[in-house]
Amino acid sequence: MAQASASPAGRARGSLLTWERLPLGLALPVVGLLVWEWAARAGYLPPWQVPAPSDIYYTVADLLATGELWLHIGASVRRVLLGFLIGGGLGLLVGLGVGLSKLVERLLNATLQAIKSVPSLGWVPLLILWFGIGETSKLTLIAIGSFFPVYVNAVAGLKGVERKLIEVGQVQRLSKGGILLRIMVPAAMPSFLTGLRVGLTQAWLFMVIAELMAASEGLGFLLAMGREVARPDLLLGSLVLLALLGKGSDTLVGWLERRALRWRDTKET
Amino acid sequence: MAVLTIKGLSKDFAGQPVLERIDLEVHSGEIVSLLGPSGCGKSTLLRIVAGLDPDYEGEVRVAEGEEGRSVGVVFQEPRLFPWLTVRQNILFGNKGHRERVEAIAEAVGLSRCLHAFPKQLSGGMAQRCAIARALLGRPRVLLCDEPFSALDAFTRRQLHDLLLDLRDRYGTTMLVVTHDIREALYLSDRIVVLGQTPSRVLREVTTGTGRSENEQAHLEAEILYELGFEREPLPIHVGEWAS
Ligand SMILES: Nc1ncnc2c1ncn2[C@@H]1O[C@H](COP(=O)(O)OP(=O)(O)OP(=O)(O)O)[C@@H](O)[C@H]1O
Ligand SMILES: [Mg+2]
Repeated sequence: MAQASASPAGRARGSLLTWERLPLGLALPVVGLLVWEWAARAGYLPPWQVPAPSDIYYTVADLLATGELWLHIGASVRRVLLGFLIGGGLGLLVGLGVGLSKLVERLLNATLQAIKSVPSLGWVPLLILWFGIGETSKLTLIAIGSFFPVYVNAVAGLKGVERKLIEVGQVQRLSKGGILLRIMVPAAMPSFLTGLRVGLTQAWLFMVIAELMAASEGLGFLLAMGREVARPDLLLGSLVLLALLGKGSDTLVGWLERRALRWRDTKET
Repeated sequence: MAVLTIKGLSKDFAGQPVLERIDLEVHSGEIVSLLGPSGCGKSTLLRIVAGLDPDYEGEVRVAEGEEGRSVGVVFQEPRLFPWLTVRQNILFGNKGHRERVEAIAEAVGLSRCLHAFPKQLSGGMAQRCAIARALLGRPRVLLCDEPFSALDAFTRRQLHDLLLDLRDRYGTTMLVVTHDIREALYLSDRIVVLGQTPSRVLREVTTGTGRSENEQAHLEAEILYELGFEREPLPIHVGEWAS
């Protein structure tokens, strides 16, 4: 596609592609920002509530210059990754157990369903009581948040593997382990990846909640501080950073997902 | 020599009898068609022989393959693994036979698609790939359950010839389930007709090649009659039919 083509059809398709590739999603934010900036400067917006975008930018730039921002971003990212690794890892493990073994399913499923129906924020007081306000309760909360999407999708994926494919493994004389590794797991891979993606999003969400509770560093801490010292520029700046980081990690995982599932016969790709 | 022996095979689903005392022998290099009305238990019989359903009464014996494998199965749908290439699909469960992949791919006409994924194949190509996968381990018996019923008439005819060709090349014994009397007549050395459930063997017809069109048509009418679909066929009067 990339090579230049002299034919009219080729050129038409090329221009169509570039047209489609225009980052149309950016149009709304850009226009919005311009209007916002203008309204703030013209004095239509109360600066103690809605600062101009340029003020937010300078606040973030200052934090960046002193290196303080990296500390907060680093702390938040570390919590998200660690909590996600623990929660998602356990979700995958328990999901494999429940999805593959009737016995494990009967043993665990009811309990997990019950725990799942507890609204996740309900855990906060208990976690604080148990682990204090330190790192342990934060990581536990993030892990709980990312556990369930991964678990639920893993079980659904494994239960949904077509019997027809498993029969092929049987007639081709695969062992039980072979059927598991070479048929069940790849067939359930789309579900696994969906679960991981949702789980990672949840991890970001719960990280913010955990840091709002109590923290001395992290983007959630910046949010909390922004409120306490009444700095809307700090608040909005942190929110923008959270949006960028969340979107970035989701895009990365989405890209990995598309790469790993190139065999899929779906509309996209 | 009998490669597949079935003696007194009975099968029921939750007390509902499906197969009743089936006796069947398939000899080395033979292609046998299993014909019968829908729901009479053809697939059930094939699944039992394939080892997919261990819950039956009677005796089912398949001669040991020279290389351990005794049956290969081609299902109605190709059942390829979408995450594997054609080459990997053919090799699935056949790890020891890497060196044969090129030859079998050539035999089924897929040499140029070995690196494609199943989503890039047409229905006929996918079924060729399934046949190659089933044959790579050189099974003693190839079991096919309505392998071509989802394909158009041209592709079906091509694949009939492919099966005959593969039998000549590898001497594979085949048991083919079908609805289609013409297919059975074209493909097989012998046709086994099953009746309504609980089904028994109603009739065995040795087809063989070199029959005239008339005789084929007459056989077809006879089988249809046996299955209760048509009036009793008229006796053949060769002279009259020719015009
Ligand atoms: N897993 C099952 N549980 C219960 N009954 C079954 C099961 N599989 C098949 N049967 C019944 O056994 C009978 C034979 O089914 P089978 O699939 O073998 O028929 P068939 O001859 O292959 O039909 P068709 O030509 O339509 O494919 C049917 O009446 C069906 O309802
Ligand atoms: Mg059937």
